[in-house]
Amino acid sequence: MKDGFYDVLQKVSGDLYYQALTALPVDVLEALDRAAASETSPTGKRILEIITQNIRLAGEKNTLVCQDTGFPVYYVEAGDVDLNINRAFASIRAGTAEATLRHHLRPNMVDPISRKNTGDNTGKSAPMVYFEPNPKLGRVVHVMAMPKGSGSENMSALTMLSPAEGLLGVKRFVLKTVAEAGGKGCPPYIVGVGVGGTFETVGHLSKKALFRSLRVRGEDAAQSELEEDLLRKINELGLGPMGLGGSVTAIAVNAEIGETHISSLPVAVNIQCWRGERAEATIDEELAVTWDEGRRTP
Amino acid sequence: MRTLTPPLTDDVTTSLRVGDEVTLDGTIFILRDATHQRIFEEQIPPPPSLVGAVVIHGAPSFEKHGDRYTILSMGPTTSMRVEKYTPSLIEKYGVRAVVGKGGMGPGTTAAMKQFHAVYLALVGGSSALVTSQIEEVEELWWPDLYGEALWKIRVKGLGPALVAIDCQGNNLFQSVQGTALGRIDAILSGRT
Repeated sequence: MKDGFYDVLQKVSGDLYYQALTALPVDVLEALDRAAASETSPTGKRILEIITQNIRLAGEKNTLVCQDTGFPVYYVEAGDVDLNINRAFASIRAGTAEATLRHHLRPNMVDPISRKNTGDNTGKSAPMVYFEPNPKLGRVVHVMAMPKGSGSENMSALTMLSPAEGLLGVKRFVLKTVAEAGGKGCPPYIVGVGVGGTFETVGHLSKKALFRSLRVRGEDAAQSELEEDLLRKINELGLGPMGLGGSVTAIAVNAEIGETHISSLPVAVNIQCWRGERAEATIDEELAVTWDEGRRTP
Repeated sequence: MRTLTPPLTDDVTTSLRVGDEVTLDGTIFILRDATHQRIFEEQIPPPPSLVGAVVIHGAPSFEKHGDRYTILSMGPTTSMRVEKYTPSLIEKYGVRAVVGKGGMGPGTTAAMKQFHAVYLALVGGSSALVTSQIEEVEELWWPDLYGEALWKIRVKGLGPALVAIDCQGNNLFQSVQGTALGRIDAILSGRT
């Protein structure tokens, strides 16, 4: 990429971080509207009304939707371009720190043992930046930010099933994970499911699933059938908004499936709260930035 | 919808039932993980009296100008993380309402029944709304804990919150979750 790209990337990363915390993706808003229309419990309906009121208020005041400023996770897809990932990582890290300080975002990153806070949401493993090749993308770089909230992240789970447990075992694990999350992770949930791969790959697949728009179903039939079946089954649990009972426990299930070993069947469930924090932008070779649909341009 | 004004007395708390919608006016205290650890692990009693008090689980982001604190964003956090400390907070220090999200466990439910306290569930993630209902920071102790300090704030119309654990031993979160867990086999076999 030409001179100046890494400065643009820094600014875009910081802006995406703040944008994801102050405005919801259009596809999540649509899904919450559908939830409000279909929810059968009066308590559930009331909670969805308060959620909508809160989202509107955050928009009017340009303030945070939720106080949890998250764990900064970025997904960078590179099309047919030369990208220096050392410089790209440094830019995203600087953008994260700059946005944290400029907007007085709560710093969340602590050493797990001493609990000492790094102060600017960066550190040895933060932000978490995933680089992925995407030959279909053209001559651009696509950046997605997800400041992942901990309430829902803490409700996530991973298991290594035996192949004998099969698809039924996969579904049982997903339902059990959601039921055990109850109201603690702020339902209605977006459920990211990973199936296959290795121990760390399956966790990554479940996170990658959460980066996908709720408008888009899985590409293969097996993937989209699993998503639709799990969504129907999760909503039969009756947890409802905030876990206080109702017909809408999840607004979407996104699943990613990868090959695994002949003797393995890994499953991961990454729980996401109703906020579905996510923001994305595309930077082209001329350094023009395109922000995703329906968002205020920072 | 009822408005509760702390400090709360027994006649108020015992008259509430799961499912009631309430709002709060007046002075409440903010506590989170590190605040509870200071009280119960380091065994340092909270400086203010918490008799009849309402506590909310959260940690604000804030600005400080001179001695004045302004809360920029604050909303409820997951209450279960402080389940092990909450029965003592009720029994030893006299807290009579806990505000948070996601519900609490059997220990807190039993203490609430015995000592006439309630759990009020806010809508998780509703910080823009909650922040707009905070009027002022009245006092702060333990600033070394940053957002997790012990905050005394004044609120107006905080809520709406739903009574989710009452003094009769009813726990709405646990009953909903118990039903969900019990349904899994039937859902998987298509018997629903």
